[in-house]
Amino acid sequence: MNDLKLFLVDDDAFYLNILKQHLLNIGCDNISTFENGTDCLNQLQDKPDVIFLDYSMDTLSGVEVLNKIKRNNPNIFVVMISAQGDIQPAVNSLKQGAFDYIEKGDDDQSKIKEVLQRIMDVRELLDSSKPSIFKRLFK
Amino acid sequence: MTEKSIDHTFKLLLPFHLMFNEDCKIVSFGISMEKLFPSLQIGDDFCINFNVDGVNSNDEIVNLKELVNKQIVLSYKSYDHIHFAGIIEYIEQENKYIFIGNPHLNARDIVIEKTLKEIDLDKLNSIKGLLDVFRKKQITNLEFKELLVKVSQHKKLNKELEIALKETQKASDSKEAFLTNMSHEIRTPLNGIIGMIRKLRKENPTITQQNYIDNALRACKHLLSLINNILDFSKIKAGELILEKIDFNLEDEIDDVKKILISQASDKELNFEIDFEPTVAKALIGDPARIRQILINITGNAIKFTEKGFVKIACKPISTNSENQTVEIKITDSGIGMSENYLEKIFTKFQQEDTSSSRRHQGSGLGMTITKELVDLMEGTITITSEKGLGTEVTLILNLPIGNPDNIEILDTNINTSILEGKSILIVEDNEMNRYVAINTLEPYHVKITEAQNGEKALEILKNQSFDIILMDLQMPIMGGERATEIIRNELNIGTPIIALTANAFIKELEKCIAVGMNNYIIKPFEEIHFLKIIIKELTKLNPQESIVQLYDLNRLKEMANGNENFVPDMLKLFLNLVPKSIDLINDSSKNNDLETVRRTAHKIKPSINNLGINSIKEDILLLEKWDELNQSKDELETTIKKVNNVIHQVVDSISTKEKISQ
Repeated sequence: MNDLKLFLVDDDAFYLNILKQHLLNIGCDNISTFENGTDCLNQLQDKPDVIFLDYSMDTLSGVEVLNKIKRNNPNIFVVMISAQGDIQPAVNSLKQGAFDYIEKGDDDQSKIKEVLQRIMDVRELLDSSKPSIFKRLFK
Repeated sequence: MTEKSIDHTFKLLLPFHLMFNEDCKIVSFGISMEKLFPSLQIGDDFCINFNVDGVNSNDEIVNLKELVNKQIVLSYKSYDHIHFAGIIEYIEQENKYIFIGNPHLNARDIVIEKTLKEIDLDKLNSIKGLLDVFRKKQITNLEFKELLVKVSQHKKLNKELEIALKETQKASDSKEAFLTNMSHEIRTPLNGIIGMIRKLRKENPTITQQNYIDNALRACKHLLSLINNILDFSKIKAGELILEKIDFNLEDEIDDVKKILISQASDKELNFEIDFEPTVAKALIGDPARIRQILINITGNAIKFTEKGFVKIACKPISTNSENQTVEIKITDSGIGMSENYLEKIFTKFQQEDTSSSRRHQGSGLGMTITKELVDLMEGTITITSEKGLGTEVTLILNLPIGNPDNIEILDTNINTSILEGKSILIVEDNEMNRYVAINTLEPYHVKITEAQNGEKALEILKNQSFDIILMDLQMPIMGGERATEIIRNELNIGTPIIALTANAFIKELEKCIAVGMNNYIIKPFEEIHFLKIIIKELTKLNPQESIVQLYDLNRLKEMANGNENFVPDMLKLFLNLVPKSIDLINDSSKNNDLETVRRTAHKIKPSINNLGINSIKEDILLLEKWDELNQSKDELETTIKKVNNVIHQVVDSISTKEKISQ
């Protein structure tokens, strides 16, 4: 989990910093933060593994950013962040290719940890079921 | 000098003398003899009325001449409890004999009781000098009288000296009285100045203006602390200063001292170290505010007189038993130090090492005197060792009872002012400026304020109107606060809580307030938070169900920080930067009927409100987030926004004054 490259996007700098602290607490320290979707999209060449994306942002909405990320690199795991009581639209975003969503609330840190753990598991599965080019060549 | 007055002086000067002629008839006696033996008369026979021991075995007086110039013991026959030791001299020119002596020690008590209340026994030693003169024998009556005149002139001079001394003492006393009164008088306008500056600070000043305001406020606080020092000093002198005995945590107090002084230390780039042994009891019983004052005084001095290096507070227990703990607090610095000469004088008032240094280091020179007095009151010791140029070490040793940590009153500066909302308050105060300050302090909390310029006006108002609380100045023209309170309580029979507003910090005065029926007091100039707290305290007593809810709670953020020291200060900075703006936006949008923005903004600040534990408006934010203009009125919206606005401003004020915030 420690070597994952993470992007955090939220136009509320307060929550952005909380999110960052949660991730630091569970041992992730390769973190970049963005206060709007555009800045995040401009840095996609850095190839983040996971992007935590706030659903309700003022300028460019979370769903728009999600779509653009997926178009750019479908392999990036995007986790939507939604405010309390705002789950339905977040759930909808799963249909657009988000990996999961987290509801801001009381137990954010363990939720984040859980999501990251699942991402690790999925990546492992993908790696084993999709042999590398070398393996395929020498088979 | 007349003959008569010489006689009188003579009687006073030699209170135990007896003078008799060659026929043994008494011609005069001293003032004390007169008082001791009321039956003694001029003309009585000395030889019959008095016993004389020590001349020969035969106690009968045969020849008066035999007695002369010998040590004898004399007693009055009809009251022989008192023996006088002395000598009989013969005054040749007048052909008279005089006995001069002192009462024997075993009779001292009777003598003192009967006669000497106004005469100092020890002063009677001057008699010895007179005796020597008599022994020369050549003295003539005239010379004797001249001598007496001289003696009495000497006495007169002494008296003049005494009067002069008394006047000096009086002058010194009146200097102190003047200082006390002045400081009292200065507190009142200072209250106004500080209040106005505080108000100004809330008016969104520019950075430069903010800077001026901060400096003005700092200067005011300095002035206030000087005045408080003078008052403290007078209180100590008048025995007015009484120590509290409450449970407290010494480590917290020392941390507070650091918090208060750290900026001064970092301005000079000094290291501020604290070394606190965990074996110090978690709760001790004493007066934490005064201990803090002592430590601030000493440590403040350490910082003041240290140009580079460090200041350090070290605290450890030196002995502990089941009931008490003796703690040692050492404050060391690497400053300019003090000479040995000065060390001896350090605890005398108005002293600084030299007058030139006071130009560099401001201060009244009262601090250490007060410190010493306070330590004495606590029955502790304070010792200072210092070496010029190397630094100073102050050691404070206090023996305090061990307390119970559960009894420590948590100083809760997060107060919820919602209880104030809608309350009616009567302010009785003649000083317009102070009325203005009080009103301004209360205004943001939506209280209804009524003003009265004096007690009489207040009574008129109270006859027709009732209030939740009355703030009452003490000294007012026409009718003062105490009289007004008496009438309110006894004639109008109104039980509304009355809080005295007074610039007089003396206990006697405050006790009088309570005695006439006031419930509490606030000393001017007041700290805003203290002012509100006392009012809230009295209101809460009336409505115990409206308990005080914490304004905000940083525990959640602190837990999250997980050792990251910058986290909480960073978060607070973000909060201060973001949330007030969002609240302004909500305000403006609501005025422009842009409810969508109200909802969106409320939604956005929700995590900030939740994470800072500002629970009193949690529900209101949810309400705003889901505002339904079809079912909810505009008035409701405004009330909700007003409440949120108020609470956020309180939180912002409280955080910016009390918490550490990232730069």
